[in-house]
Amino acid sequence: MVKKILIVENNLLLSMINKRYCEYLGHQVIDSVMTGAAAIESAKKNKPDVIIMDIRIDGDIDGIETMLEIKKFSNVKAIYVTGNSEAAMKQKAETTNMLAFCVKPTSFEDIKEILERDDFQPPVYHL
Amino acid sequence: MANIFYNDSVLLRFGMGLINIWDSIVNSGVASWQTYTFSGKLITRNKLAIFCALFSFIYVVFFYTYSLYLPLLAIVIGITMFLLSIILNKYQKFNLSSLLILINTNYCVLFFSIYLGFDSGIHLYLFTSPLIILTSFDTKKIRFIALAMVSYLINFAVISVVGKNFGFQVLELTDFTQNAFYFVNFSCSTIILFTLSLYFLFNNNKINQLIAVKNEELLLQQQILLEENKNRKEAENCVKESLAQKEVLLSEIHHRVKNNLAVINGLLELQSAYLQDKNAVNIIKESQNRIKSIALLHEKLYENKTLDEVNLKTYTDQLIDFIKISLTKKDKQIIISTNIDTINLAMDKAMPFALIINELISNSYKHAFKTKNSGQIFITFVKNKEGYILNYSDDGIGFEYSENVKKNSLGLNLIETFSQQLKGKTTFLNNGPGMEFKLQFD
Repeated sequence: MVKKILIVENNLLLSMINKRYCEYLGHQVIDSVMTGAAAIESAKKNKPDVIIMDIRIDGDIDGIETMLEIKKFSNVKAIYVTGNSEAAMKQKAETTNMLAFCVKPTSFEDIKEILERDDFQPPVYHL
Repeated sequence: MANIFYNDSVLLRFGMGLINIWDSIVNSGVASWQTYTFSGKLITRNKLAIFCALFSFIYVVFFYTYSLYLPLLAIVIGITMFLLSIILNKYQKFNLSSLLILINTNYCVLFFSIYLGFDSGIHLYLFTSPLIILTSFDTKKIRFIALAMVSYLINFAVISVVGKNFGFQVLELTDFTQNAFYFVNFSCSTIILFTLSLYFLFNNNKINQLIAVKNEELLLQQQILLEENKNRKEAENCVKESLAQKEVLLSEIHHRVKNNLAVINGLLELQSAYLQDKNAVNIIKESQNRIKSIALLHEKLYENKTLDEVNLKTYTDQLIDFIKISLTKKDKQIIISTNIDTINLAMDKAMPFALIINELISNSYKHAFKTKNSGQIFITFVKNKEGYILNYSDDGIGFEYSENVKKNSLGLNLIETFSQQLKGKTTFLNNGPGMEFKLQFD
């Protein structure tokens, strides 16, 4: 099943690499943004199936806070991709709608496995 | 001329000697632990005792001249008691000395008032008693002060009431002598009264000045301390701020290192995704594993709060986990057994060590189990007297180490280079089934 993916990453090179890899896997990257605010906007507008979310991003709010905002109008899940592997961070991330918590550098096989899980449920948007 | 100098110096020495004797008598009992008020009173008491002794000496001469031996004995006892009080002070018996002065002054006045009669004016000395108490006794000892006051008052009452009304006079004196006595005692007691008053005022003033100076010193010290405290607080804040900045900076660098490694890893992964050649894909995978080994090291370094050492036990276990995932082929069952002590290594040693482990495991996966469906790898890393010792072995096909083999293998070259970086000794053995590698470093 082709999924609509939103990529939130402030490193443009990584963002491009992730985008190309997702496209290589046959999915559709609907938007790539660098800030939490833009992510919320884009989620409302594009209604992605999955969000690939860096935690440390530009702007006033981090990736987890962004997901908490999005949780208010959708149950779309995030694959967190972060350089921070601290247990506290992971616990905080688990309070949001989370598909997986990957530590950079993530292996693409992991992402592939996560994106192609059988139990995927399309998210619901209340807008 | 020489004679005059000689005389001068003798006089000078005599004078100095007298001053020294005077000083040592007056300062009898003075010690450094006493407060200024306490030692001041001690000195006054000594001076009073000396004065009384010297003054009484006039009477000694008088009684001796008239061959009156009873009062002579009495006055000698009085003088002895005054001198004794000075000696008691020297042995720190301050209370006893004060009491002796009190008894002695009362005793002298009482005895001579009776002996010479009320009109001799001996009782006039009692008028000086309040000032004696004030200047010579420790006013903090209320009970003693009360005792002194009462004793002088009773003494005065006894002399004036009993002595005057019942008129017991032991020694018969002519009117002239009586008047002379009265005149001498009146003058002396008045002089003592004035001297003590002036002394009291002067001393009080001196103490007040001293207190003012001390207060000023204390204020100054307080100011210095406040200033110092302020400076210290500022410095502390500076250090705290700089520490916080350092932590932010470290976290930022850590983030960037991981991002950069993720970029390199991602680029390699993207490129390998479009490759057809399986060999090329494997080579890129090896490079990716090397990058991940380093990334994992940074992660462990950041997890360790001291930020300068890596716990190699947890690191190696995690490293093995991800190498296993990335290298395992479906048809092969490879078991890795580890025995690793809890060892922390600094980054400059942890990095080469980690990459050696990575190369060794990759090498075993790649070559050792070509002919088998299963295999085993054993890793032990311990610290003992000889230093750090890594033992690595597998039960694969084994290989003969030679310069020629090394020339064609990047893995072996890397192992050798990292071992050199660790200043370690390496040995490859091919004794039993499989290969064995030993690394020892300090």
